[in-house]
Amino acid sequence: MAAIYSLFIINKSGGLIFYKDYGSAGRMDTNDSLRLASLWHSMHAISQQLSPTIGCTGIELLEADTFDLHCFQSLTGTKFFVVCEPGIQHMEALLKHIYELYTDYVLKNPFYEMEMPIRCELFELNLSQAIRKDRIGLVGR
Amino acid sequence: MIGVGKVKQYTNVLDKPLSKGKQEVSLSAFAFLFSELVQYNQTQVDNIAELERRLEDAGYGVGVRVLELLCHRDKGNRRETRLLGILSFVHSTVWKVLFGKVADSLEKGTEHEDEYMISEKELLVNRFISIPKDMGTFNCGAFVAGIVRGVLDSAGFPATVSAHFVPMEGQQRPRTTILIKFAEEDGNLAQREREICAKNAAFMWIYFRRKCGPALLSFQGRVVLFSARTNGLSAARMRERDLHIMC
Repeated sequence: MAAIYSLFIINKSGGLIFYKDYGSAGRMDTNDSLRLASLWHSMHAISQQLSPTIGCTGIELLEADTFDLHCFQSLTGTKFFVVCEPGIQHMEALLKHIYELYTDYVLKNPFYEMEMPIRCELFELNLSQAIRKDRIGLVGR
Repeated sequence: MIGVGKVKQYTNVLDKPLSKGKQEVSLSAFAFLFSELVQYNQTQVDNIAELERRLEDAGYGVGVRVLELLCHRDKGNRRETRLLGILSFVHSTVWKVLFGKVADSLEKGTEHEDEYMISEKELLVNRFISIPKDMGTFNCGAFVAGIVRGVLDSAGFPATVSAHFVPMEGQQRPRTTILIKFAEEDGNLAQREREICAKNAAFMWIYFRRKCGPALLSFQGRVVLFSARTNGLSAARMRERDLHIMC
């Protein structure tokens, strides 16, 4: 019943800094998740160049048969993307909320080195709370 | 011209009155500044104890200045001379001005006579900070411990202050406790309290005998002369002082 299957955060050079799995399929192998992240990073960059519209900032939504991929890119080039069930509407708001949590609990943490994998207890705590609240909101609908 | 207000020009900046100032500062701005302070100190030290000491020293400077400022602004140029007075000053006034709220609780230690604890569910300075596992018991609240130490030291109550995480059952995040251990031995602090009590009693004695003019009073073998200086205080203030005598 999980709406979100997984969440990825990649830094501006394309390296994976955070990966969380919520689906029932089990956690992906670390190497696979790294490969997926850099794959998405490259696709995002290429799409920006190829786009026919002027001022395009890259792919925001990828729709497939069994999943949707929503992507949010911050002004600094950090990308947050979720793989979720097809047809969910409010992912943009959730991604922005996750970005807020990132700026609060990761960037204000003096022990976090920039562009390194995220190991902040407070970030993970608040993130799981946000996802849980989101899930409850969805089920209630 | 009527109705034209003129702002009084001060030639010397030292003559300008001290304004109340902005009551609030952006939390994010402070969080980033504090984060940078911690990071900077991390590059200068080799071990965690040293880092904690540096943060405490940084807070010490803040504490000294905060005491001066609050005594002038909020307390009408009076400062606390009693132990419980200064502790409740730190617990409420200082906390209110620095963190926007009164501290959660002030307790007396059960094991030792001169230990007190101020505890807080989560210190403001720690709100966005997650300590990595390999740093053990390090607490960035050492900065706040330094502030408390600065206030107590300048008020004449030297103490060792430290910040600790206290895990609580049923809660994911541990509480933070600021442990205050007064440096003067048991005897000295109690003796000083007794002396202050005695001086207050003498003061009260003088108040009742004011009508007789300046009095020469012998107390505990020492000769104390209270002059007409005491008459400067209004009768109401004197009464207020009397209520505080707890001998």
